[in-house]
Amino acid sequence: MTSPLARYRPLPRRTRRLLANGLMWAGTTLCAAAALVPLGFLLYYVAAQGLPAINLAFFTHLPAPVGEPGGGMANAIVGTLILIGLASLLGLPVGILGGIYLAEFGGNRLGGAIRFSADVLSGVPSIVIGIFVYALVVVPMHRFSALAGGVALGIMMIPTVMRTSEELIRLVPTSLREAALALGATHPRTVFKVVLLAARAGVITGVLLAIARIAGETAPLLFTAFGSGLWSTQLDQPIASLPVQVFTYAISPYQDWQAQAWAGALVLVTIVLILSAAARYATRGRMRTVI
Amino acid sequence: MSAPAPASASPPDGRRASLQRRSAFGANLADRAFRWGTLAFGASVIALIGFLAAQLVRASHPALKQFGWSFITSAAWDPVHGAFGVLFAIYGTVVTSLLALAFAVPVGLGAALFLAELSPRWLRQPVSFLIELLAAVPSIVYGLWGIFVLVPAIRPVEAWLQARFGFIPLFQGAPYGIGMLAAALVLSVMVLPYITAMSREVLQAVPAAQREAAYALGATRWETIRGPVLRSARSGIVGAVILALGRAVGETMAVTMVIGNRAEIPTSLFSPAYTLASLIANEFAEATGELHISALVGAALVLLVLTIAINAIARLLIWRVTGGVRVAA
Amino acid sequence: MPSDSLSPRSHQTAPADKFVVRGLSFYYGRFQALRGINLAIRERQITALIGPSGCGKTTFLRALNRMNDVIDGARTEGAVLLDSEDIYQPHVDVVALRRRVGMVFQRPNPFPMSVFDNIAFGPRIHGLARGDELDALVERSLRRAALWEEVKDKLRDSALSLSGGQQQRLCIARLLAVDPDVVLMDEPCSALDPISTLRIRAIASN
Repeated sequence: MTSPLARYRPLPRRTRRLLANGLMWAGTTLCAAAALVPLGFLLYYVAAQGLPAINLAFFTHLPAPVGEPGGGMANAIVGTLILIGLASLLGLPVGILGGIYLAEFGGNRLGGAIRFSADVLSGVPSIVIGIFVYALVVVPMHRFSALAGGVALGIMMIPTVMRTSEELIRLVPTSLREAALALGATHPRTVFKVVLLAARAGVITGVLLAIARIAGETAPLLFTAFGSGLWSTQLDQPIASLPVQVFTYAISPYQDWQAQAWAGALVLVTIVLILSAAARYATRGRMRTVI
Repeated sequence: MSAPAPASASPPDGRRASLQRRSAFGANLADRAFRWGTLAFGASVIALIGFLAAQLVRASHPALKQFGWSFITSAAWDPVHGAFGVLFAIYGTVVTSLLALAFAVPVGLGAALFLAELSPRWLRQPVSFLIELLAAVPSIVYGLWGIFVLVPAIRPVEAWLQARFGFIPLFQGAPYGIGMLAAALVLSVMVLPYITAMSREVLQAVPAAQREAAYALGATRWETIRGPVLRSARSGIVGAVILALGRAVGETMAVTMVIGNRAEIPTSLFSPAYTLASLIANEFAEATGELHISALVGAALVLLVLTIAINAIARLLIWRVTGGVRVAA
Repeated sequence: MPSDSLSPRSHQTAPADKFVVRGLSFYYGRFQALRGINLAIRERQITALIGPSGCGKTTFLRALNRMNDVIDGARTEGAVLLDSEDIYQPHVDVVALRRRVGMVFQRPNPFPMSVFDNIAFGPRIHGLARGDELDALVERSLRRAALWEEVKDKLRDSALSLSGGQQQRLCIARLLAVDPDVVLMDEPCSALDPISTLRIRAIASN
């Protein structure tokens, strides 16, 4: 029995339209799955190749002489930590205080110019920043140094920290500020004691995101901190770092070193992914910043 | 002046006076120091950019002066004989990036459509999250995966392509795996999350009213998307793609490890080549002589100009559509 | 495409019931927006729903062409009979339903395309007309919406360049182009000025 509505069904292009609709469903689902495949592959290989090479020696020993088996990346791990510390000394004050300026006073032309510059800076390839710092720090000092590496990474932190700080400080409700001001607090005191406190979770996660980003950077360190096979914590000497060490080992012809490169990559990926995931999760829905 | 309060509650005159003193001088100073202090830190970014450009120009001056325009029009790169032209690197950069986009845009856009329009709500967050996590993986790890996993995997593919289609110049040359194709593939995986995430934002910004109008006319899901939704999102998506292009152009480590590093304009997909970034990464540490270094800084300058131009165009498009969603490149 | 033989209009002299609503209840998640509504709506008549804001008028209207289906967490109970057939049965083709029962929304929502492409959207996807026929259909629809004179020289301009009142009439024309049996209007003039409102009332009376 054909119902009145079913009567309308054999429209001229009915099946074609249904088919197109169905194809779209299938196609996009496939694309989404395809987008996830590389991640799976990547993580699988890093884990599969890296785990066997991870042992206590990896974290505690220095690199063995060229061609000899064994050794570890202790100096590189410490080096990365030192570099992150140095970078934060530069990146955090500029980023957070700059973000405060943008959030509190930044509606004018100068604010626009600052935001624009920060956006430009975030788009500059990391290797170009490395070259810049080479000219700025390495050449006058006549040597590669941890300091130079820290400066390069610090510069890279600035746009991320500034952007997230501004956004999160803006999110603090005006009523909170007004309450503080009404109690007689000065503007700076309001910001530092009240607003930042309210925004602190977000600002911290913004910082974590920035650190996650620079922890894995190799290119800017190639000509600044340069890398080293020795133990070093001096700021005016070249210093090893995890990414650079992984790179050096990866392109070497030694099996043992290549295995260690995977191990180093595993450590790096684990740290970076945990930091990024935590930061994203903590600010989900609240920040309008994408990636 | 308010009526005098009972003696026990009113502050002594001395205290009221000190209040006035502070507000006239002390607080004002604190406020102003705060404003100018934070301004100085913020404005330092502007100075930084200017400084960066200036340093690059200065350090590359010797090479640019010597070669003039031929620096970017000549492909002769010979450190030994002092000839420096970066055309091959520009070519390598542009072609690998465009190829990477050719692979990544269809998949990324499809995934974005899935996430924004079709996926069930409970699936949306986890899947977007995972795809965006791809963006957090360091470049060096992509490079590692590239040389040890991808390159061996595409060798047989390249050999097959050559066997079947070897008459096309694109598929000639020794199929070692390392070369333009490998670089393009790795780059495409690296820019995929950016395209997906940004397109998804743009699609989600299309007002529900548009979709409802189409449904009310009896349109299917696909027809609604193909019509008003994509039409509204078009310039934003283009902006996202261009931004992804900017990222691909600046990518260094992963490309350096799989592109073969040969200072020649590549003639096929399988040829080794150089990009501007990988050229600098590969040669800078062992650069011989002033001119060589200056030429490499010149390459950095070209790269800088390229990325700034690309990013500026992209942000203009995205900003207009999403009304201020900030995007980190 | 001949419509007379399909339309009940030509067969009857007295207006019959176009819609019969039986025990219609609607839930947004846990919240019940409509409770057991029973109503009959006659064809070839203007039926107006009046009530205080928030009482469920829009929800009810949207239930008539199953627009509520697009809302997450929405649940409908009861039956809505269109020409004696329940539109909420599983086998019903929603796309065809919505073509027959069109809707005009509170705020004009023209597509970001040209005026012509807006009107032509419906006919194109349903394959109603092509080429010259399509041009004629577009003109006819715009005339019925009392908009033709104002836009006939601007057909290729963006629909967004029209005024609010014009945009709403555009939306009506867009709807008329697919030749619906029923038109649902959800406070179409609430966002418009009085003169546009008068014009749209006139269209409805036609």
